[in-house]
Amino acid sequence: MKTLTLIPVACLLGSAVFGQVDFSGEWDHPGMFGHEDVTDRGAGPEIGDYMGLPLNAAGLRKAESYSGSWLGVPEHQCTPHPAAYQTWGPNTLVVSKRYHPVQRVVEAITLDGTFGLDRIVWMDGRPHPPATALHSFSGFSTGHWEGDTLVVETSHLKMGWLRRNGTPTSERARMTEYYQRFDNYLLVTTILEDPVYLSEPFVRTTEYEMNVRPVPVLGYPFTRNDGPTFYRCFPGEETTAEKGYVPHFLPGTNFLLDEFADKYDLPRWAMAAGSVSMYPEFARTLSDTAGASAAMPAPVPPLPASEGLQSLQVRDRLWLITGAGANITVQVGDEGVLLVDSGSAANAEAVRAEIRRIAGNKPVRYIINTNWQEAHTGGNVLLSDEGQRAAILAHENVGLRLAEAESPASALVMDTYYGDNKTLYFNGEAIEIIKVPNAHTDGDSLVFFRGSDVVVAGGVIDTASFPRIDSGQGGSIRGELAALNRILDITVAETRGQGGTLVIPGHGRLYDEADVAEYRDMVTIIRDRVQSALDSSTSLADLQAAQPVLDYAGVFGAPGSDWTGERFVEVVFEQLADAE
Amino acid sequence: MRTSRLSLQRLFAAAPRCAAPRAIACALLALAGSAALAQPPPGFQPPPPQSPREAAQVDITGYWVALVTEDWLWRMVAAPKGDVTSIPVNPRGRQAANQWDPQQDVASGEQCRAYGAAGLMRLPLRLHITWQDDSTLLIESDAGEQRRVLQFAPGAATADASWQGHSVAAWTRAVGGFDMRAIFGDPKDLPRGPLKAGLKVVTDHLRPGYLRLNGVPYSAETRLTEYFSRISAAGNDYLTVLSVVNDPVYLNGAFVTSSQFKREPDGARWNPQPCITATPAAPRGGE
Repeated sequence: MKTLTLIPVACLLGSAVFGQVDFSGEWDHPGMFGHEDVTDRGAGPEIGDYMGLPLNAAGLRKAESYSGSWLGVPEHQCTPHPAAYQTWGPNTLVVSKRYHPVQRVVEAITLDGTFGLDRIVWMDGRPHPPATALHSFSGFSTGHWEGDTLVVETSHLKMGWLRRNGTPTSERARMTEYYQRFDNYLLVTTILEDPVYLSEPFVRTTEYEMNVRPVPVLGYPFTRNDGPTFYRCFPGEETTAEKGYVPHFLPGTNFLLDEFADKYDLPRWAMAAGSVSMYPEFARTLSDTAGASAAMPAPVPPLPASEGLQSLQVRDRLWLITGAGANITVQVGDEGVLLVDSGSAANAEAVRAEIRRIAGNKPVRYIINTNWQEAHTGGNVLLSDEGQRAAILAHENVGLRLAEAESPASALVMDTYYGDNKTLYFNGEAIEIIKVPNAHTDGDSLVFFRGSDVVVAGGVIDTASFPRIDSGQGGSIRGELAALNRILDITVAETRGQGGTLVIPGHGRLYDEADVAEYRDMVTIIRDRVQSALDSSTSLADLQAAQPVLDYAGVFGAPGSDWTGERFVEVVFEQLADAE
Repeated sequence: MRTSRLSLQRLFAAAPRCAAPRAIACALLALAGSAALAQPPPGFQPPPPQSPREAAQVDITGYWVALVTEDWLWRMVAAPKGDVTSIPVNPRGRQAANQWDPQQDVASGEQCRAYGAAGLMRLPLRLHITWQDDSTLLIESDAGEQRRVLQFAPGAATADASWQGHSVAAWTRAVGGFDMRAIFGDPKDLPRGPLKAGLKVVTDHLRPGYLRLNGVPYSAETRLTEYFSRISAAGNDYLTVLSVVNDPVYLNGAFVTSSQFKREPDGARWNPQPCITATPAAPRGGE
């Protein structure tokens, strides 16, 4: 009876009682920066402060190569705090509920803060996007309740950091957060699993206090209407470095590590100990002259393979079909269908069915090939014969290579181009085919859909692999880097370095400017490591023994692929040696 | 007939979700239900009150190891004398921190000043949590060999203050004993598992001690409030402790930290060590 009596009372007191499990409101770290690691969260951590993080050897290598000047690179200047760091940074947190306009149930919880990006936690049971979807610095989050705890699961993260000193998190990381309220405190427990850079889950707890002081905070006006001022970021010319310059430390050259060890009277090995540095017994070993070192990374499991073809709508009139060999871009409009690449011949029937599902009976009017390889051109024969013969556009060398290979596609009439570019206007937008010489092969083209603001990168980018530089077909590391920087000339980020112009790679998931910049950075850094080895007369065998791709193999060393990191290094070594 | 929290949740989960305001639905359901449920059946005997141990909806017993992923440079090693980074000390606290004299602590038999309740949970250590009896939780630490006694049935504190003070514990749970989301939230958001209670512990009657190894002080007037919770994730069990230290003598305001521990299967790594007085570190260059 007592409980029953409480029911109408509870109903009347609704909002007050609901506060026990409702995090809505404004939260702030005690003391603005919190009472833990203030120097880390305020001015920023020092290079070398890697202790207490479960970094594996790959994560440690990436951290040690990090230079603070990286943030001066135009494509990185507006990079926001990634999700794994957002609650740790010096920020307020505004938690709001978003109601479905018709059903009037909570469909999402928004987490806004001065960390520069809003986060949406979907509470309506929707699934996470497919693996081919765009990643972001906040990732894609869904939430559910476990008792009084809000559990938030996040995927689709971009490369990020644990601390602001280059300690990395990868795009393969998944994050689970637990939001718990205790009186007027909000405790956020973050658990990050990253098969690429961590040897065990990283656990961090952060506390907020309700309404410590009203926003604005840090002198930046903050309203729900115009968002945090941190949003307004425009890259500037901060250095005189040449285009494409990527600051980093070559292995063994980061003098800041020794400075850090001296400053804190730590043995140098302690900074590279990885997960063991989190545990109590580690404190008793610090007087030892040598100790544990970070674990070597375990093999990263491949992404779950999609079953058959999958389609992803990229823009209003642009679709991406995956699973048919190389990625296929489908532009659909009143004038018909335009394809960029046609997949392999074995999948052509299935691709045709998928195009009809997307575009109905509209004819394929154009096929643009970004290079000559079968995964890109194999479907030309079947797909170009849809009602009326489609025009096939490609660089001249594509036709030559197809003829050399006696490919069935070589029998088709092609409209090849010889110069720097070729343009057409189709379905209401300008389309530019841009020659990128000697990158993946000697016939690579980018395709820029100006109206849709999408660049198709073709074989220049494979998001699960080091770039496949085909020396025998005219590919080169120099051309590859030039092509990547050419893409970055075209892309414009929407906000905080992400979104905006989208990039469809030859293989793998959807990219944006930040992703292409990371890919460019990776290629540049490995090129620099190889060049450094050549400069010091290091043999290829000794270079390979030093594992120059250790910090990238977990993302780009596709398991089971014939194109390994070692093979990539070998090709780059040979090309750079020949150039000397 | 006893109306359980779960049956109420189910009752409201079946309530209409559409246009009618939930408050009206609540009232109607309550009125309809009251006629059928208001009268206990003949011979009804209320169940005996549960002991705190029986009432526990979260089990925090076991062996736990600290994961020092935060404040590493102040927890795993002793910072230099006077380094009060991150702690909201007032001028008096700063002055006391500057006067830290570990040799004096040894001479006066107070080597355990850094192992008092307000500092203990931030140290790199292992915990062993057990039920001492049905209304008392015991937290033992291997570092410093400390024992914290958390009493659910509050008794009078002893006359003498101690390193671990006098701790009163209580389970926390949603107001009203049931989950209000059953009324105000989406029925499909109902908890997947049982409501998880947290443990709130308030400690006072403390001997003056240190918040950190390097002698940042707290006074005998300190009141420590802690919230314990458990999380299962990534194949592990984690214990989180949110700590709020209020000390009107040495702090400007509440000193708030949170610490995390990972469950260990047994006591194989349990390594009791006596209290150790830290050696003052050299000033950190560049600061």
